[in-house]
Amino acid sequence: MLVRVAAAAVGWSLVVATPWVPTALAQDPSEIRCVGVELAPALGKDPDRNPDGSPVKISPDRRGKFVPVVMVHGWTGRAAHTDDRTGAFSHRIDLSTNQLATVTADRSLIGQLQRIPGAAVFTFDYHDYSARWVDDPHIGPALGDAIDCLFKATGEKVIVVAHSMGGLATRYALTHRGAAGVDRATEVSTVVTFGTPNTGSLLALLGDITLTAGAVLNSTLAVVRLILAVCGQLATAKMETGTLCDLLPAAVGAFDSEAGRALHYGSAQLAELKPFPSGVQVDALAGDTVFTVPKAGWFHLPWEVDTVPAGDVIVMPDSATNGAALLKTAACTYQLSVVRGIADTIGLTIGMTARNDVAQPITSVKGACFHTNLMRTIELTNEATGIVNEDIEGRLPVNANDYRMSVAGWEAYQFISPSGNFSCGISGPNFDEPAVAACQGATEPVPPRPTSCPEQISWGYGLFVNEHGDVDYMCAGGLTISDGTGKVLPYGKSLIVLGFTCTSAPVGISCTDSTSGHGFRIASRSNETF
Amino acid sequence: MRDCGVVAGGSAGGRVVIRRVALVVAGVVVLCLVAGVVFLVVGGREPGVPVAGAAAAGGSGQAHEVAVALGRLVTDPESLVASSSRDQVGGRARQGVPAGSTVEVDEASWAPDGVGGGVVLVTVGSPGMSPVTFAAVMVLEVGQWKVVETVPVEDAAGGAEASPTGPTR
Repeated sequence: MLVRVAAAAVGWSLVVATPWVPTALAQDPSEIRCVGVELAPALGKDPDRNPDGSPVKISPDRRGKFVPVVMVHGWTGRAAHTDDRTGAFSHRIDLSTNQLATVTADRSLIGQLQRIPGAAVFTFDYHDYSARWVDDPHIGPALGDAIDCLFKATGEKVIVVAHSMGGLATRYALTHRGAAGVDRATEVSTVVTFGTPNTGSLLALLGDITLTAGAVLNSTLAVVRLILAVCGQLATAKMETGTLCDLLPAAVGAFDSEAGRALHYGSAQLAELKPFPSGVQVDALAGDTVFTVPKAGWFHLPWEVDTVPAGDVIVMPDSATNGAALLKTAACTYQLSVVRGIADTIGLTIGMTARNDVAQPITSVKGACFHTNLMRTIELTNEATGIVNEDIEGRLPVNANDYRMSVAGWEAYQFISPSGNFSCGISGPNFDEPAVAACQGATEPVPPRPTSCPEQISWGYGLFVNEHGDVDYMCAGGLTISDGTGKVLPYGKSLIVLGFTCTSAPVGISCTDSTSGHGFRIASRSNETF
Repeated sequence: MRDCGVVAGGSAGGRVVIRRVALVVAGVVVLCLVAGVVFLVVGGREPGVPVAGAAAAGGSGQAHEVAVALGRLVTDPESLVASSSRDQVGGRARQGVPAGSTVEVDEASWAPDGVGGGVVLVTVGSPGMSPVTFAAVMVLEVGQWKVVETVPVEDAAGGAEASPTGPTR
């Protein structure tokens, strides 16, 4: 049974400074004017669509707020979300690693993210400078400035979704302070990377012909050369977007650039790039292609293994997932066969090893695991969407009903701190007692016992704030505001009910009366009232 | 290639004659086009070039260099092993091209990869074995063409393709 004992509304208190809150926060993301980024529109001509066929629309979260999600394209790419869908994140999601699956291509990754309430998707496009290294003022520093601006404009930590070198640009931005000296690690919550060459690109190894990096890598590079040679013969042929012949030669051609040279394994530029800050969640998504090349070897001397790992054919998985907390790879297996083409050409066919289809010419296979196709792959885009959704959802208050107590005729809620050290409750008015939010548990320091609290009753075993804004230590016999069986309120979550907001954080539980702004923070070794 | 020069018409005459001349000219043009297409399909491809110790004819300069280099497969295969493949071959290059083998390079198939290498079709006939056509992945190392890896060329049935012309030596 819940028993409530009113505590004296007098006593010792600490006054703390109110944390700085950006002023004039933008309520509508279309009003945000940050240099370098533009709000991805909901496409009008050929819109991204919801599962019910309706066009995707941008909407605020349950708080009425928007969280900025910045899309950063890769090397030689584009990010702008336009009707022609040439942006790296604008192509419809139409590929799957499950070769028997049929994908309904209703929307792009940007469209999919725009479906999340509260996601305001912005694009950072540095196409005109993308042959340069990420320390170019138009790339890493400019991205950093855009992040500063979006954070200030919304008051919300930014989420970054980056492809390829865009992930390195993000690393640069987050490890360098802005003009105002701000630590950008405090402005970004999550980074999702698609095929980012954190330690270098596979293609860069082609330039090192005397490399002795082992049998597996040697075979991988041989396969890449084979593909390049065959694709080179077909340079004038019409190729479908997303095939290896569409992807590889262009990437190799771009390697003779500042950025290309920096992407060599062990380059000075990569060595100078610091790891992502520890406070930022980094989730890496990567392609994991394996080619089986029957009877590969040295003429009649066969290799011991004829399976060739090729990552996304530009970046190997170990490079793409280096430094990430969460990894997700899209796995594709193909059989690569050399055939005789017409008029003395050498042809390649790709057979899907998971099914007994007739092998297709290399110019017609759009692999779900290939570098530029990762953002068209349903498995990876679903993962990215889940990560962004979870981040935004994590900022929202919990559903109060999950914490409601069953007490007849009385509205009351309870929860436990993640440490288990505090039992907290929020209860409505009861007879002549005002509504109150309180947390009970051992804390220090505690001021001297006031005369109003009798010796036989525990003093200072918790703090409370009531609907009048009164805040004090508790004078109570046992648990009074809860029965100690409530659910845990996870870190970062708030329970908002009955005019109070209680928030769980590693530094303690804070409860505030919304009307007066008064409240407390309680932890085992510290507490404060305000 | 046959002469497909313009065939002059006869003297000016009636409309019928002109039509006949036009038809003849058109017919010759069509024949020439057909002959050209047939030539491209069946005659444009040079036969395999024997290079076992001999210089190969035709093809681009680079293709020719590659063919000449591959000529050493018969006499000194170890010298053709690329640095990156040395561990895999492990001194067994002679197993790859057994003594008494014949080598035939299809220079016309040479396909540069754009990054210092390329691929060429090579048919190796070895004693006791059917000739096999390989796609040889080549790389230029310090001015010397070397073989990184080979993959047998598959025929329509999916097996390794035998040489279309057979061994030449």
